[in-house]
Amino acid sequence: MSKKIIFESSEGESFEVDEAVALECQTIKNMIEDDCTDGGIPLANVNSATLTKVIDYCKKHVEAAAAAEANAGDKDIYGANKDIELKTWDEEFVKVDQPLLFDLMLAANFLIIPGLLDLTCKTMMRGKTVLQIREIFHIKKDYTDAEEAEVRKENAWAFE
Amino acid sequence: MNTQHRNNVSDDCQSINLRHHNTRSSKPSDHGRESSSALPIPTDLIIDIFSRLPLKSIAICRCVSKTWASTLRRQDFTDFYLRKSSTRPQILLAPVKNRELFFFSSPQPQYLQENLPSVVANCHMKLSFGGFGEIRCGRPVHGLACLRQLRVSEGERETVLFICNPSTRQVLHLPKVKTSRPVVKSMFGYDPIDKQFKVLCMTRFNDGRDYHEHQVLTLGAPDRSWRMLECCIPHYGDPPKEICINGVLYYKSINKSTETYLIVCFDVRSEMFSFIEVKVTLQRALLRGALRNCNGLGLFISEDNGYFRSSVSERSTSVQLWVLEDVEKQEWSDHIYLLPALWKNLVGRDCLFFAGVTLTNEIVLAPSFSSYPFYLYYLNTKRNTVVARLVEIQGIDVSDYYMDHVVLDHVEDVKLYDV
Repeated sequence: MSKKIIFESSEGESFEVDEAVALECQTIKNMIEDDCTDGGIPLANVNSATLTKVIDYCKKHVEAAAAAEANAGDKDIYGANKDIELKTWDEEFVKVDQPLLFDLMLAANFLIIPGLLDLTCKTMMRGKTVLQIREIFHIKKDYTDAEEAEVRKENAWAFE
Repeated sequence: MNTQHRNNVSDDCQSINLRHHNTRSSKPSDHGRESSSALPIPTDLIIDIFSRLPLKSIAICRCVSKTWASTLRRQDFTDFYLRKSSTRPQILLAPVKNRELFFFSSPQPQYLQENLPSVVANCHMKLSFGGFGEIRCGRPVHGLACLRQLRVSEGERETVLFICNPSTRQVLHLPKVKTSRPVVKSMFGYDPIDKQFKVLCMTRFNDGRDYHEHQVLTLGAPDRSWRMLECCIPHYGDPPKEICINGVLYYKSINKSTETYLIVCFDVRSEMFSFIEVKVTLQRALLRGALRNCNGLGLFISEDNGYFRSSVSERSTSVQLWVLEDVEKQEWSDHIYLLPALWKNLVGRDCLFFAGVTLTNEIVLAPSFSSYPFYLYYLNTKRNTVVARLVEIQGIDVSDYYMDHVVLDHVEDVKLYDV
């Protein structure tokens, strides 16, 4: 029976996960190594919905890594397929609304889950217009219209 | 210890909580409809986010705000992006035809799954040149390339030099070279210590045996001018077929006084020249061979029934490589690799050139013309095997273009340069 770790979301809800799953988070890994996880880990900046998703992500990646290790002997197309399968899973995983994606990114940053941080950052910006990005990050336009036209011209290729 | 860690986490949480206080605590169950970023997120995180983005997103982010644009210009960010890029280097392809030059890049297979059937090369940049005159792209170095256009109008020749960065699509025209000599050639080098790019230009009169005069320009230097250099051994011969390795530009040349082949070494940082005199046994190979980086200076050549050739074809029987082991003593080690039996069937009628050597010591060969389908050949010298890897050139039909360059270990540099 593997060791369990308990996370507590910002709403106070408890989530029990296998230690292996929790180890996907570098922040938690450090705590486990220092033996500071008894009685649960409060994550006051991660809400339940986000935490559920984070745990899903970590679980999937632990399973995929275990499967890859089991098949390490055969270097055939199978390995590549597994890789593609995980990529497809990741793509489905981030098909969520923008605020949740943003929360996932912050959680991945705080918990230090490099794969998830990478995935959420790329997804958040992919195909977004300048206006959408301003909205997501609550950025006020500080360019004058002329300046903006100029900088857009310099980077026109990105809008093609 | 236990408590201390908890406190740390809690402290962290509080600071983040405070930021989200309005949204989170008021409507905890309705998180999805609320914004998570009531206040700006820290610059460190923004830089971390930027560093994970593809080039196109970076360009769009420059247009979001002045603050973001200036963050994207920060040296720590551009250095960080470059460092990350160098952990997953790419292959840069530069097909050219009819005064049209493209830059494509694809992932470099050895960093990926070994059994990956193919990689995709995407177009970064297209450069078109009107009028008459040739266009030449020097060997790209550290993400950037120096191009040279010879313009001929009303009998007047003019050489225009410019730098382009396929990652930002920036094109920078360099100041005109001050010379009365009509022939201007250029090479591009990178000094990894001071992180500076320099253009070395060589000028001569129309006689091909005339020795070169050298001038150098530092990219981004405040004086924006060419500086004359002294060189103790007059030499000539072009095209130089240069390669820049660890801050040294190496190129083939001929000693004007002795008429023997030598390799000129230009230290990009100190701007000093030194020379490698080549033994008689190596002269023939140097004449034809290609200088490449194989964790040091390497000279590649193929053999076809006793003839040395710079290209590799179905008739080739072996590949020979000399590696400069000791610069001071000018000692070379010699390696001969017989091509495997299936070579002829695999390569077909392609005429290949040496693209470089991978970290795992595979010799990479690339077709001189971008036929469809486009394969790169990986010659594993230890196992004596060859693998052909398909590079799917996407978006633009460049079949029958001349492959000016296929450069391994290409990195993406998102710094914006000033001349």
